[in-house]
Amino acid sequence: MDTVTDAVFSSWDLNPWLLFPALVIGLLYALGWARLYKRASDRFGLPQLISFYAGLTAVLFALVSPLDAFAGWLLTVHMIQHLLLMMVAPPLILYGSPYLPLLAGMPRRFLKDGMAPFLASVTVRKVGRFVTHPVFCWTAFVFTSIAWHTPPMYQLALRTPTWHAAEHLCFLTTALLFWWPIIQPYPWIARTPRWLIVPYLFLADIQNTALSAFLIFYERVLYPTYATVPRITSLTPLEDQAAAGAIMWVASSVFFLVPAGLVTVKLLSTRRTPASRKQSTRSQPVRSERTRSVTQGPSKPASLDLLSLPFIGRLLRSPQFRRAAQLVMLLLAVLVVLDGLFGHQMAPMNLAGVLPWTHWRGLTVLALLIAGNVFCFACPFNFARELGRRILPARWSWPRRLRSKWGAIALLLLFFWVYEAFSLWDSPRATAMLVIGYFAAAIVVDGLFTGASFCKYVCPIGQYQFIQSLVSPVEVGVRNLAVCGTCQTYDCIRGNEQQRGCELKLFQPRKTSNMDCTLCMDCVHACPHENVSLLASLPGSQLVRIERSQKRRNKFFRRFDVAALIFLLVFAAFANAGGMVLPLQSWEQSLETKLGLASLQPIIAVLYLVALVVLPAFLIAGCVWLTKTLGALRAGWREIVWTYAPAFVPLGFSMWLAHFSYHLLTAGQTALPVIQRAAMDTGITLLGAPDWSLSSTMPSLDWLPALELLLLDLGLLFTLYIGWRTAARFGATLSRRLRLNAPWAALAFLLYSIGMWIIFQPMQMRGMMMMDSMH
Amino acid sequence: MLILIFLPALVGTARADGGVVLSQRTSEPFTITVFSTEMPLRPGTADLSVLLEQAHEHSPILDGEVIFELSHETGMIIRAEATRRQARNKLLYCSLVDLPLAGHWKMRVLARRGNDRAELLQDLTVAAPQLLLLSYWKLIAFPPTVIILFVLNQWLRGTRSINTPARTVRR
Repeated sequence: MDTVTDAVFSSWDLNPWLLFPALVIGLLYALGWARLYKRASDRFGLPQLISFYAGLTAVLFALVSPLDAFAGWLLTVHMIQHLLLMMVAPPLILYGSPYLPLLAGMPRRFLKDGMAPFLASVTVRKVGRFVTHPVFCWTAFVFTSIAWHTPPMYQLALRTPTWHAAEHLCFLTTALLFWWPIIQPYPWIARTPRWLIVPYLFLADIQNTALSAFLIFYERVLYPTYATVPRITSLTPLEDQAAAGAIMWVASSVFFLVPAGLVTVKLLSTRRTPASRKQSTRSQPVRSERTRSVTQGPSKPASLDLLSLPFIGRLLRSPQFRRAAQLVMLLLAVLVVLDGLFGHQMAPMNLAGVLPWTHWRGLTVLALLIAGNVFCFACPFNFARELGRRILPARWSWPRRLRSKWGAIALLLLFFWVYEAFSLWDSPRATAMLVIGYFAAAIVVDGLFTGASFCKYVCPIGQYQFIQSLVSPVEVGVRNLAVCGTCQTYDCIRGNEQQRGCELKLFQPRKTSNMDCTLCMDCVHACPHENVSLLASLPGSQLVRIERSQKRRNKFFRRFDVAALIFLLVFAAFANAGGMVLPLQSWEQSLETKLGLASLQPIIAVLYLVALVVLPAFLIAGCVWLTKTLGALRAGWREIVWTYAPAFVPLGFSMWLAHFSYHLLTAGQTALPVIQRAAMDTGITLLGAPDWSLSSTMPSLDWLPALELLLLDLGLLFTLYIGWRTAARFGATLSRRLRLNAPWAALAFLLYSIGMWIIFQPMQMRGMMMMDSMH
Repeated sequence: MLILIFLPALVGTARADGGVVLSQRTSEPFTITVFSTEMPLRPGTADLSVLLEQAHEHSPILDGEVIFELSHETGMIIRAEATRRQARNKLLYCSLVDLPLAGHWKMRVLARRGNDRAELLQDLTVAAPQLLLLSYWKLIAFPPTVIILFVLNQWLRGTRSINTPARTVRR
């Protein structure tokens, strides 16, 4: 059994929301410090590094250690916590001269485009000078200290976590300001005589003494909370208050008076020699490499060559690895079909009711975010395509008139309607039939037509993957464009005797995105120069590249059918999620009763037609008209549509991600009993009896709506950013870009608001035994 | 300036300890104190915790069992076990109870250690749910904040690019 002491000292709160920002700050400082140490080790030496991390540790210790857990029970503990935040951490952090190391540690692009305009702004500099002026620093520190120690404010902080965080925020911020003129972190330049620091500190000590004395000698408990909480020490609330006052008095006075003494001694003993003054005037201000780069123009975006990595590279390159992944997926598809046709027909108890709709969709969309088009890489329909080529002639070219995405768009529309109208997610047999139909289509299409016609023109899943993978961080690309410039054979597209080229006719040197790329790696194997690889960069960087390449007539994103596909999938993300919202379902049912219909199917058909065709067409036409009118633009309407379409991919993707990850996180555990049931049905008892409680209880994930909203936030912001960059094509000035972008931004906000509404509605728990649940 | 932006962000994310005593009762052989992180309670997850002490010595008991039983005026009953594992303050037994409805609830806390048992009864009022906009204001305010900063950034870049050639000419 734990002792009370053990329990007290184990009361740590390793809150990731706290540790993660600390890790980021620590990492940025370390990166920046390492760069600056090479250039100016005297200013950014080991003492600065140690001091900064000691300060950061002090902040963390104050907030995650038992000090925080017991601050609400003992005023003395609370006082120690505040002293760490106000007296210990700030001078240590500032001694680390964190300004330049933090800047130097930031990504080059973010520093150049994001931070530099602010840092160079005259207004920001003026504000900076004002808030670091000793008079402001002293006043802010003293005022904050007194204000938060008044009983109403202190009580507020004790009773409400948000106000407690605000109190800590005020203490740390004003303490950093207070210690600023004393420590004078590089490159800040003092604008007042050094001797002023002595009265600065003395006056602060007088205020602190008065406040401490009040706590010590006041004869009643100043903060009533401490009189009501249980006493875990022998101190009475009044003794606790006096002890806290004493700690504040003694410790703070030491922190005020020792630096005051040191500054006095230094002022009295130091005389600056002419030589040292000369040296100081000659010393060059240190500018970090990152800061210098601000003025030096953009650099090539960095990407990681995954195929050059040890082990992972060999694995990814290996055709056997891809074949093994496809076999696993094929096996799963077969199991889904068999169980769907012959297993229990209650969806939450059947592999076909759970695996495709809860797990496959969720994992696929997560894979798109973390890696890339993993589904096409491991696509089980490849076996069907190969079978088709063997048993059928496979000699015709895909009809010229159908060489577009319109066919796939029609299939997607049909699928979205069928999914909702016939409740595919609730019918294992229909799901199995759909998978069988998919295999049959792959056999027929690629058995009759050459190339990867099925993937390029038919497969709705493929089209979905192609569009969503535009936000993925991994893509097939060339290592060095100069090598392609000297290439005469174009093996990547034409192929050679050993290896076929790209079936989807993607020419690597001109490829700018994942569009139409199935990650088959044929081009990687075909290139005789080993110049094609799997490159990883930041998620969404492809969209920035698309926006740039549109100017150079990028073939995909100057196509109206591709733009229509993008908009369909964006609106479908919201319609598909909206379909499981209970208020909307109730409305559909009441409409069915009112109209006297026998089923919901016609209503769903009309709704989907409106949501996926009529409404998007109307809204996009409105945006085009407004863009042309507000921006006095002469470009054709088609050009405007295909130019802005890629900007909406992130918003659509974020809705798909929020929707599918909701199912995965709330119903991920349902796979286990279903697999156990399927195994039992076939006589395999090794996995044990199914525990159906997993299918009927939802884990308590109160953070899930916040996560979904955050995803939607990020999707909206990225869409607005790409839209903004797109507007730059048509207009250079800020006001023109605002006018051009306003209609599309309004559309993005409308979709975002719909998404937000969906997130907070009660949801139908598809794939679980409890069908309706509050979100 | 930058550090003033970075570090407070860190503090702002900290989960502060703002425990409020909901009820305290000595019921031989224990003293039971019930805390809640925030008042008033609202529908959703409520963080309820209990300090169990010996009635006379006031020493915390760390090997007991604590059960919450909450019954709503409509008849709904919620039962949840409070454990020290869930608590941040390891002297407490904590349970994250999902309160689905606003209104009047009766809370019954059952404490047990070996053969010793005690209970505490308390009326709870769960206030009407907070507006969603208020509950998630940080996430809802996030996009407008970034947009304002971005527009400011673009404006500053614009003014800088206008000013830069002028300076060059003067030189």
